[in-house]
Amino acid sequence: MLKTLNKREQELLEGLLTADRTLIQEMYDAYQAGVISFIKQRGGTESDAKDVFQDAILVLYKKVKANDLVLTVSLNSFIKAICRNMWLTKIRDKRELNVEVNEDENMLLEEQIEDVLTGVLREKIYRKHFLNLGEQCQHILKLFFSKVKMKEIAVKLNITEKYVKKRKFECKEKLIVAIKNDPHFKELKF
Amino acid sequence: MSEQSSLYEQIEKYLNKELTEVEHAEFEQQMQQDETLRKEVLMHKEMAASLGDENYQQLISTLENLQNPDQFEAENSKIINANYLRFGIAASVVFVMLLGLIFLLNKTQTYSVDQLFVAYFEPYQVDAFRSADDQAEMSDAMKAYQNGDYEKAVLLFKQTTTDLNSLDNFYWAITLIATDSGNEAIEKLDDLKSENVMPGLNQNIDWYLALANLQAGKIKEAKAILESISENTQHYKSKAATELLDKL
Repeated sequence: MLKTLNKREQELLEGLLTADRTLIQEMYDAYQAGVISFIKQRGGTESDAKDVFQDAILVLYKKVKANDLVLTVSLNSFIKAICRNMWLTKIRDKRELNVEVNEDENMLLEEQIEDVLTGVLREKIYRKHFLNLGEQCQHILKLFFSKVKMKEIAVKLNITEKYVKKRKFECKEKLIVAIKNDPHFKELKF
Repeated sequence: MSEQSSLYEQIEKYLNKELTEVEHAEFEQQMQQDETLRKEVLMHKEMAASLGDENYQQLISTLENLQNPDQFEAENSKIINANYLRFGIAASVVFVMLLGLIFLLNKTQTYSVDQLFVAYFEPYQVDAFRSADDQAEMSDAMKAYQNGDYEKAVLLFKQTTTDLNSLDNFYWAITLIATDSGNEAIEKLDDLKSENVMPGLNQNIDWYLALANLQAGKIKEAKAILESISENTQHYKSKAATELLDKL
């Protein structure tokens, strides 16, 4: 049975879409402690739990943005379920710990989040290498990815359109090479 | 045009729906037969959607900041921070501790601009959300920054010959403030602000710009920035800016 979001949950999800710091902080205050407790009880550290929580919030953003969020439980329970699923999958895959995994629990939401989570992890790698580019490269690519026309980029940066095209290609190639050489990226499936 | 360049261009045209109907169909058929091409196209699509989504990038920045517990201590009036001991600017340990006590116990007292700057300035934290890989790739200047050796960091930033990205320049600006070079920091932060390539750091840039102006004795400019921060209740330093304005 689908659950209707209450007013507070709706506000928090809207805050997520607009990256509203205050509302995101409220999500942290309301939901993170439970996740930390769960992960620490299963062999993880607080830092592991924070990473998982961060990824869960990004997964949630993607689901909300794609209008693909199907809630049968409260938002709190849904976030906990995502984190639980992510953590159990992680320790099972890496076989880091001798932990009994309840398959029913592990299957919870797996279909809903697996692809989105892998996408989020790939996107964090794109971001990491993007931020390592030079200032001009970041500027040109940011405008290009935001679908600003070449001509407008040229005017904005006071350079020729031809040069923008050349730099865009060079910067994009540099970014792609760095991404493809990232060992973490190689581990992630498409 | 190189093979790679031609491939990227074709992928872009495909994603932007600029291919003719026939070319589009041919390209899709190629993708069906070539798994590597399919993955390449998906990567281009995902990369553009993700890096072009300003809200998403801002959300990641916000989450990274929230994961750093030290970042927002000043908001709770915990103005004495261990980092202070390292950047060797005006205040001594005793002075800072006394100032902290004064702030906590007597909020009606008046303060000098220097005292206020010392109380509210805290270098942006870098270490909490850098992975081991990131740390290995960090420049010497960034390593010095991370270690709190701002004098060394500022020298190394100045000596860098490679193309610094916006984030490096942001840290350089903070380093300049930490080494009492407010005017140079203002110039750098103004550039970053007008470039607007790191939306996730815009609020931080504003806050440090206000402090750099304060340090440089440009009180009118500092107040104007602090007022705009104070008025924006969504700003992470809104409360701190209001407090600071009250004391100025």
